[in-house]
Amino acid sequence: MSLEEIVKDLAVTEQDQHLTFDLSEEELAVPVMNIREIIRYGKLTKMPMVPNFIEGVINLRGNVVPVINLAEKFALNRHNSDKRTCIIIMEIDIDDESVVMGIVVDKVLQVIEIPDSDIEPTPTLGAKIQTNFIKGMARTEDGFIIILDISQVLSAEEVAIVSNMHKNNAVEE
Amino acid sequence: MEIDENIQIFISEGEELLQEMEESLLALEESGDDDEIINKIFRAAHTIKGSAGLFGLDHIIHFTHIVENILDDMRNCLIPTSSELITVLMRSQDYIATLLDGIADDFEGDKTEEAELIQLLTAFKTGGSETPACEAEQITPDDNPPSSENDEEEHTQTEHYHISLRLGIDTFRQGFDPASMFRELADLGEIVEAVFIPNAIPDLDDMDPESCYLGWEIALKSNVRKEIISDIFQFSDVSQLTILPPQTHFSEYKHLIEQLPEEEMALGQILIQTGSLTADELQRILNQQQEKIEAGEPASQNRTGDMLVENKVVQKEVVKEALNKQTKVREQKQKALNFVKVDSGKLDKLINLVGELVINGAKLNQITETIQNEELEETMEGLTMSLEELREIALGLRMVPIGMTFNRFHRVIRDISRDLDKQIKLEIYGADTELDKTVIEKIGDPLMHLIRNSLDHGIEMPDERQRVGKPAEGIITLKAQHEAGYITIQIIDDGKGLDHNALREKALEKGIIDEHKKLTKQECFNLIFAAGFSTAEQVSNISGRGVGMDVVRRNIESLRGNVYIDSELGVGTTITIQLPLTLAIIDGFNVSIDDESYIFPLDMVHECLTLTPAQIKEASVQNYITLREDVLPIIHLKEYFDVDNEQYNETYMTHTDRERHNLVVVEFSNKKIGLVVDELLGEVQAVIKPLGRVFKGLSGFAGFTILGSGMVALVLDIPSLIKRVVGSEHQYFDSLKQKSIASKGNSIVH
Repeated sequence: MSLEEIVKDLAVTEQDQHLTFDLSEEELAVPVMNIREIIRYGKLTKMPMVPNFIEGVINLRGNVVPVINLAEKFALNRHNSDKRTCIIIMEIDIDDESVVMGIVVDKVLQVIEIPDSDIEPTPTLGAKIQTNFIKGMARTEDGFIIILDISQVLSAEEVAIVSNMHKNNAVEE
Repeated sequence: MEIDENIQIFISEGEELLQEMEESLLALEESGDDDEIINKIFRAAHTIKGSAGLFGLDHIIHFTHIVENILDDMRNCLIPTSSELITVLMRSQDYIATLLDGIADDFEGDKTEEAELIQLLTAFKTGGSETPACEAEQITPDDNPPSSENDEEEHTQTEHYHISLRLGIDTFRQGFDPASMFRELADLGEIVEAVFIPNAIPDLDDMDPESCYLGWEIALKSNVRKEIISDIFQFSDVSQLTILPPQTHFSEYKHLIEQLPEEEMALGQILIQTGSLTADELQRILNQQQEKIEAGEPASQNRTGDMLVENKVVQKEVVKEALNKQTKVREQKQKALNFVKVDSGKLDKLINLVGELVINGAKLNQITETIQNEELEETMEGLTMSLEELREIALGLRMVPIGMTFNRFHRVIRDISRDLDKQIKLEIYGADTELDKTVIEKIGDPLMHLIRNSLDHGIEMPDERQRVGKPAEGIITLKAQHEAGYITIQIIDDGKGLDHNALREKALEKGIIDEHKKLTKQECFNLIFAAGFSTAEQVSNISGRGVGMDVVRRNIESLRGNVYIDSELGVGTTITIQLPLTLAIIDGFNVSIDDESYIFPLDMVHECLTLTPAQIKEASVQNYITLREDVLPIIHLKEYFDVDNEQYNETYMTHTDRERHNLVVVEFSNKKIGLVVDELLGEVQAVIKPLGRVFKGLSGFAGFTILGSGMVALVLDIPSLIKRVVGSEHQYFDSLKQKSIASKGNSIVH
């Protein structure tokens, strides 16, 4: 499925719709509700003095948007970017404040319907990704899809690491 | 109540008037009796009452009316000005402010407070002696209204005012209600008779239902002064108004009938309309004036007013009043011409748009350079210049003087010093220093907190001050001034100062620092701003309002500002706040480090230079270089940022050989440091975007900006960089000092 077709599917923002994507040999999904748009991976501005999972920032029509590298965040094997690498721009609420962030993925796959009833609880063992970032698993013909709890991934405490970083630096100095 | 636009205007104007009232009250306290100031206060109260009448806000009218009465008595010297009275008036002014505030929520004020205030106010009235409190030269008292000095036999025997009123055709369109005018008249006395004059009403076919054709002849029994009656109609659209005091000369009544409808508001006309002068008399005067001009005398020396006085037709005060009114009307006209009130939301939108323009302009500029078309380049040059000017103007719109914010503290200091039984004077310098409106709005609360602290903990009690040989009256100085790209605000008190050892002890106790931490004196002072430092022990109703000093610091830092404390025990404390001039757009200087762009605020760039091989060598082993025989501390920005940890060593080697030859020397607060960068890329205009939720904790950066290429770049926060370098330097020197002292065998408690 081409990126254009997927973007068209995104327009249907129903509760159960999920966007699936590849990330370091894993098939993951995020709810379409939180997705603003998908853009191709381009040049980013690197940020100094931040944790490695922050890939950098991009200019999205005049707004500066932070981009998170999920592979780095989940401690997976990081793939080099190619022409299929994308940034999914997501909008989530952190402490009642709407925050726009991007996540880097290797390849977007498709928009599929995953009703809540099909989502199984996360097995405590065997997942490569920290379980608190996972909302559940969904079974498909090809195997399992991991549905991310995206607000947890980009949550206040996680993001706040950036805010605390410099304080730690300051103590060390 | 539903808040429509007009009420909104009433509220905001009311707030301005109250502000004016407060300033005047403070001035009155300073100067003692001053007619001009009392008049100003009276006018403010009166205008609020009048406008409240337009909206039928009876509770506001009721209370302001009582305040106005007292002020009127002050004006007429029936009540002497006293500090107690001013205190009550200030409380009344605060109360009116709460009434204004409450309009939106239909809150009609705290009735017990109102009753208390009314009681206090009226106590002055009855307590005041009946004899005028002012000097003999005073203007005519109430019960003796000004009248022409003509033969008494020709005067009417009436005991009441005669008011001849014709409302303007636009009265209703302007939102005035004749009923409210009558209400106000009834407040002043008894309306004996009001005869409606229907003459102006056209045939039903020609009548416009929105127009006003009303007029009255009114007899009012009252012992107030004429000006007070005419004040009622001051703002309304009145096509003709004549107020004749009791026992007026017959001829005035005669000429009232002959009067023309309103024309040019010449002085003579004002006098006619207020009934001080008849048209006949005016005619006589005008004839004389004409004769003199014809005789070759310059007209300017024979203003109508002078001639009237010369001829003893009217009293001096009446002429003065009329002249004042004329000037006032003219001034108001000018003011209205020179200022436009704009919704600040619109201004913000404008600034944002200008920001977009600047970014796109930079982009276009870059494209122009690649295309190399002469015509395009010329156009671009013109466009760039206009853009720059547009930016300057747009940013200028948001700049407001800090004086307003400063003046607020007169009252705060007055009230608090009374509460604390301290004597404190406020001195203000640099009130006209301009600062971005957003910054001004947000700096008020931190300033308030700092000043409360100085009042409470800084300035000593008068007897204590005298014991140590200081004047009993303490001084708090508020000072604002510009410094390259920044503004500094200082709060200076001449109080007891801070004991840095005590502060250190306390911080140890609270576990904010540990035993081994060496601190400079300066660092000890700044402990005050550490989270968890201000504690319950210090809480009083003055300074400890649940907000710690750490909140103050955070608020200031959220404006990209800094705050420092300096103090000398027994001499006083100086708190310095540094704030950026604007939060929106700056002139920047673009440099690159590892192919990423970084922007320096141009204001703070002192010079740029390429390092000599000797300096490079020097820089690679230590954190300073020798520049023109001076030692300059430097930061290797690349190392400081540590942009990519893993490749760090590799790139460091290649870059030291290759590009990192350039040094940007920045200066702030008389401190200079050098920053080593790869390449110097030149000037840019940078629209500053906030660091946002994710990066707000990142120190050393003021925000993001978007370059002409569309790439995002970080804007450096020079003051915080300098603070870091200088801070660690202090520590270094301090530890050296400690060592040398220790080696001499002295025991020093730090």
